[in-house]
Parts: sequence; structure tokens; C-alpha cells
Amino acid sequence: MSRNVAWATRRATIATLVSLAALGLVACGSARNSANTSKSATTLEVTLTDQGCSPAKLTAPAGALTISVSNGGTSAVTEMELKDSSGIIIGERENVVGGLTGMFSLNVKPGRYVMNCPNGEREDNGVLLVTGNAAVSANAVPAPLLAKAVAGYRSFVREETRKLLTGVRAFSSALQRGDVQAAKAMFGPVRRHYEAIEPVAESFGDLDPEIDARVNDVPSIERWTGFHRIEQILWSKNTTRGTARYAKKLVADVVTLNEKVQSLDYQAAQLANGAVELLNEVASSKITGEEDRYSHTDLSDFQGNLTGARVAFELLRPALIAHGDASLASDIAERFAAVQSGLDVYRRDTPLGFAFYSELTPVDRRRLVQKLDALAEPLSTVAAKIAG
Amino acid sequence: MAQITRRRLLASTGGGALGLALGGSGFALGRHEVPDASRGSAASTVPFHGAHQAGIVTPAQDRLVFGAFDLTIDSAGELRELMQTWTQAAVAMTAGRTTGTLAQDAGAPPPDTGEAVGLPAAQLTITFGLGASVFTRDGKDRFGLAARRPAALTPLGPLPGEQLDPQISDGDLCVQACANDPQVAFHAVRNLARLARGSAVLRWTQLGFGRTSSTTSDQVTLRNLQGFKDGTNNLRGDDEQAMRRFVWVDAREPQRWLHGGTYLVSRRIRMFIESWDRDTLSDQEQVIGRFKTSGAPLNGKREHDAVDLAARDASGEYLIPADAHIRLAAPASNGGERILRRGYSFTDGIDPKTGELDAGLFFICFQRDPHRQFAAIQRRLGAADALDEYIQHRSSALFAILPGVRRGGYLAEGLLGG
Repeated sequence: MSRNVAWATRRATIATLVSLAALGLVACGSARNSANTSKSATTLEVTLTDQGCSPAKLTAPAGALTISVSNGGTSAVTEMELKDSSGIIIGERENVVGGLTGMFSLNVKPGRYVMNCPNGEREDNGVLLVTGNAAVSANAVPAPLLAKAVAGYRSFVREETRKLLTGVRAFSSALQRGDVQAAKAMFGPVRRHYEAIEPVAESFGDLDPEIDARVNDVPSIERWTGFHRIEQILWSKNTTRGTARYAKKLVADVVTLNEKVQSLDYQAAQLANGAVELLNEVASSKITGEEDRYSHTDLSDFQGNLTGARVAFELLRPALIAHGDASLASDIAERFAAVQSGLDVYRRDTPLGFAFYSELTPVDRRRLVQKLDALAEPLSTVAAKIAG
Repeated sequence: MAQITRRRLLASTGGGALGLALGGSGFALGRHEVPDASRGSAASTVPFHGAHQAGIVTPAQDRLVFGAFDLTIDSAGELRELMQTWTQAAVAMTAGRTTGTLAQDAGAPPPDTGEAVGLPAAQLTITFGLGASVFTRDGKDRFGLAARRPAALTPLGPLPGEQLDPQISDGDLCVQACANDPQVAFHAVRNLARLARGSAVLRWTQLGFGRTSSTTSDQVTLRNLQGFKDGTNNLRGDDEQAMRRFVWVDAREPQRWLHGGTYLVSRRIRMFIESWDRDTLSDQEQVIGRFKTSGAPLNGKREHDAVDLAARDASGEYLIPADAHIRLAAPASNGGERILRRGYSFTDGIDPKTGELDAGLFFICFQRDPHRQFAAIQRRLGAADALDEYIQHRSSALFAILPGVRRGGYLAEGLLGG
């Protein structure tokens, strides 16, 4: 289970973002994009004078905007800044001295902006009004590509949940017939399906803690249920005794999860952010060994998280390429492969499929985290690209 | 308007720096470089560009964050991209700016991490170097650069008395960030590490406080954690003749890419503080060779009185004992060799095994030949210095510090360019 509610927070952010994106209003400031959007760009001219920016009032339609700045013969004023309503500089051009012209480009949403030409007679002497709705930017990802990614993810989640349900039923019956060894052998492989879709499960409030809380996640031990409650009994006490009611509840909770995911819909940005969440999950709780502290099956969970993240990314990859980020896409794919090969070192021919986590040295763990960080950093930029 | 600072967020630099970190496509050096003088107040910034890197002869700032990195890439082209990305970020940060916007896109992580916003540049300098392992590692020519290794960039040791922990020694790259505000220095190393994700990983870091060396004529001498003035006879960074003689690599070095550079040696020197604090005042003074309060050599009265190694007392004993630290470290004992020291005190809490303070001196020095200078001096100190009873060298690193960067250029351009 995640330590926080970041998924929920991200969801809220993304919802806002997507609604803005639908109107084509999301500013997109990267240099790479500006080349693509320039064909529909509006150009405005501003002259620097001793008074400040001239003219002092301009209007433009929302969308790609280029401001051309020339020096009208002033030696005092050499730069122009464009600021948003909260005073943050969103674009500027400096060092426009006598005879020179410079420019800067950006995407603007509708609203009122302040033009400032520092050292003029009056600070913030100009206003730029941006009107209307911007046309959808030229590099927006085609909706069918995103819809396809979402559809693919929906069926991945359903399939993993189905396997999880089959798995926990078998796990539960092993517990009920008192087969300690069979139950231990199933624990890791069954969980892997949960770990692959964990951000989705976390979106259902209490369901994730009921299924996956660690002992330190619950207010009192009486409230502790789910996989890790059973893990603690199985490994610490080496018995199935006392697990029956937790097994029954686990099956019931996964049945509920399975029902909920059938009708669940996603936004493309959620897939990308969920993938980052999964990697954060690995870095913050698997690598420390605190997830499966009794069974040491953490590497199996790691594989589940990694698979879930990778599936989401691969589904989004065509959209990312359509957005003009093919090199980012191949970079991320390479880094996924690097993490996977780092993990494959610990594959074992056992029911779990992986070494027990306790076998890893601190140096081994550090190497895995470094590969994860190298992957998660570029992956964290994907959501904004496909949403914008 | 007038000022200043990081509050002025350069939206136009938006995704650029990040894009670079992801593989360098679209790199356009200088695209958002602006003259340093237009940013930050002159009093709070140190120019990044110049013949030599800043942070060497720059008057020592109060705080240090030092980071050693290991490269995870395998081509010189990728190393060049990293150097270009780092150059761009260092130009921005040393001018008091962010590495990118904070508030451009609500759906993306902010390119700059933000903790230095609103703080002055605080004299931030960021100084970069290359370790020997960039040229060859385990006998392998990793980047096709083995033939470009300067002869002096080879391991210094082993040196007597050291007990080195390899995990906090050496490294492929070093970043020395110095500033008068610890958060500004930390921000620099943190953001460089972030920009390097996928190209390099942090190997070890060291925080330092309380500069222990005066490095220019007008700085007063501060005290190290043993309570003694440290650096009274240090080289002065504003003594250009001495810098040429002892610090800067010049035309005598066949590897031209290092001309204008230097070598940095770092040593994490643990002080056995509790034992030192139990030592008598007179013994402490005999160990160092100076009076504790005034800082004067034991043959004199005032701090800057000349050290006279020949002076004896009435009974014929040396006033500065034969094993005193300043005698063994003195140029006269080392064939005239000198180094520019630029170290900081550190503490990393307590030693988990003993509960004693894990504190001491993070020694940094610059010189044009680390073998003839630092290593030769340390061989003498490590073998016979009375101070050895109270200290231990626990880490060691040697880096070739790159020459300065011209406007529009980038770090290590002479090695990696063209």
C-alpha cells in the first residue's frame, strides 16, 4: 500500500488539467513544441521606449504567441517581460539594446497579462488581453490514440484483477485446509497481480488498506487485515491457524475490487501518473524491504509494480510519439529495460520466481534505486505531454 | 524594477533544461543565457565564466555541499551532453536564477526544485572536475579518452596512516558547490543530480560549514573544530604569481584541455574530538606548533609572525617541536611546495559504533601537481605528525578541475568538443 494519498491528489490535478486541455488552454512552454505550433502563431510587436513598453495595450487570441521586441532608441530600457495575473514572469526578452530586435514565443491562455519594460518611467505599464479559446494546438495528441491507450489499460486492469481473484481464492483455500507450504508458495505470485494495478485499487478509499496495509499503517492491530496480516501469521508463527477470517475477508475485498474495476474509466494522464506512482512505490517501500517484512518476497512485488508501470507506458507510447516525443519515448523504453535487467539478475527457479529480498546487499539495493530514479524522472514528464 | 533574483522565473527556459537531461535533443547552448550582471545583485553573485572556474581563488564562502558522481553512460557524446546540460544549469544558478520554471504547467513536475527561490545567489560557485576513472576504469578505456588522461591524474596512495572507505572516496565527476547560504549550495547539487538522472548517480556527498581557510588577503583566519586558527600561512588566491606557480596547470602539461585547470584533492579527516578535548592546552599547542588563542607560531607573539623552524629555547630544544604539525607541513620541510587549502568543518552526527562525534575537517586543496604537492606533504605528515594521534583520514579523492568556461562554451569542451 502506498504511504500517502498522492494518487488521489494527482487525480484531482489531472482532472483539472484535462478539462483545460479540452479547451486547448494549457500553456505549453517547451522549445521543442514551439516549432510545431508556430504555424498558427500570432505575432505582436512591442517597442522599448524611455516610457516603457509601447504600445501599452495589446490584444491577442489565445494560443501560440510570438512577441517581437525592438529598441526604439532608449538606452534606459533594454528588456521586456510578460507576467501573468499573479506577477510570475512567463516570458521575456533581455538585452535589446539600440537597433536590435529580439523575440520570444509562448502559448497563452485567455486572461489579462502585464507587460513590463523594466527601468521605464512606470513599471508594469502595459496590458496584454488574451481573448477567446485557443485552437487545439498542432501537436495535441489525437483523441483516438488516447482512447486506445485507455481501452488497453482498462482491459489490463480487468485481466490482472481477474487473476488476482483466482489467486486469492486458491490462497484462501490453502489457508483453510491448513497447508502452510502451499500458502507460503502462493503468497508472492498472487500479490504480484495486485501490485501491478495498485494505483487503481488505491483510488477506492478503504479498499487498499483493507487488502494491503502493513502493521504500521493501521491505527490499532485489531483493525489490521489483508495480505500482510496473513503474511505475519504464516511466517512469524509458521501456521495457518488464525488466518481463516482474514482469508475470507481478503477474498470478499478482492471480489469488491473486481466489481468496481469493471465499470471504471480512466484518463490517459492517469495512466502516466499511475506508472510513476508505481515506481515511487518500489523506491520508497520495496527497496527498504518493509513491504514484505516477514516473507521477504519484495522482489516479486517489485516485478508487479514494474510490469504495471511498463504496460501503462507502452500503451501511451504511440500517443507520446504522435506528440513529437519519439526520442523521449525510446529513452524511457531503454530505461525500463535497464530496470528490468537489473531485476532479472535476481530471478530464481522457485515458485516465487525471485531471490528473497534479504539476499540483497545494500550496494545491490542502491543500484536498483539508481536505475529506478533514472527511469522515473523522464516518465514523470509524460502526463503533461499527452494531456497538453 | 531593478532586482534581482530567483523570484523572477524564466518561463522561457521551461522544458529546455529538462529536455536536455533526457538525451539532449534540441540542445542550443546559450539560448537562455543572459549576462550575469543583469541578474542578482553584483554583491551576491560570482561570475561563472572566465579563464579559470570559480570556487578556487574565490574568497571562501561559509558553506559547502560537495558531491561525487559516477557515470552510468558509456559514450563520450553522452558525457558531452551532460556537461552541456550542467553548464547551462550552473550559469543560471550561479546568477541566482532557477534551472527552469516553477509554475508553467500544473500537470508536470516543476523543472526546478524550488528551494532556492527568494534567496540571493549567496556567492554561489559550482566547480566541476573529472576523476581518473573517466579515462580508464578496471583497465578499460570507457569513453575512448584514455589517451587524453593527464599524467598526474593517477591514484595518490596509499599514504601513511590513512584508513579509507572506498564508498566515500573517488568518483568519476565532482561538483563543489560553495555559497554563503547552505540551502543555495544544496539546491545546486540537488538539481545537478536531478538533471543527471540516467547519466550519472551520486556516489557520495559531504556537507561542510565554517570555512577553515582564509583564501584571500582580506579574510581573517577562522578556526577549525580543534579550536586553532587554520590557514594562517595558506596561499592567497589573490596572489596571482603564487597561483601560477602552485595552482594552475599551464603549457607544460601536454594535455591542452586541462590548461587553466588545476587538481582538487579532498580528504575527509575525522577528528577524535573527545580525546582532543581532554588534551592539555600546552600539549595541544605543541602538537600544532602554534599558540591556541593568538594563533602565533610558538616562536612568536602574533598570528602572522614568521614561522622560525630553527628557533630553540634556552635548553636547546626546538620551540616548534620536531613532530609539530606546522613544521612538517611547512614549505621549508617540503622542498618549497605549497598548496591552496579550501576546506570546511563537517559533522555527520555521531559514530554509530562508539557514540562519539563524527566530526572533523573536510580538507580540500588545489595544486598543479597533486603528487609533488599534496601527496608529498601528506606522506611526511601521515608518518610523523603529532596530530595523527587525534585525526584519521577516512576518504580521499582526486579530480582534475576543468579550466574555466568561455561565454557560449561548456565544461570540458576542450576534451569533448569537436
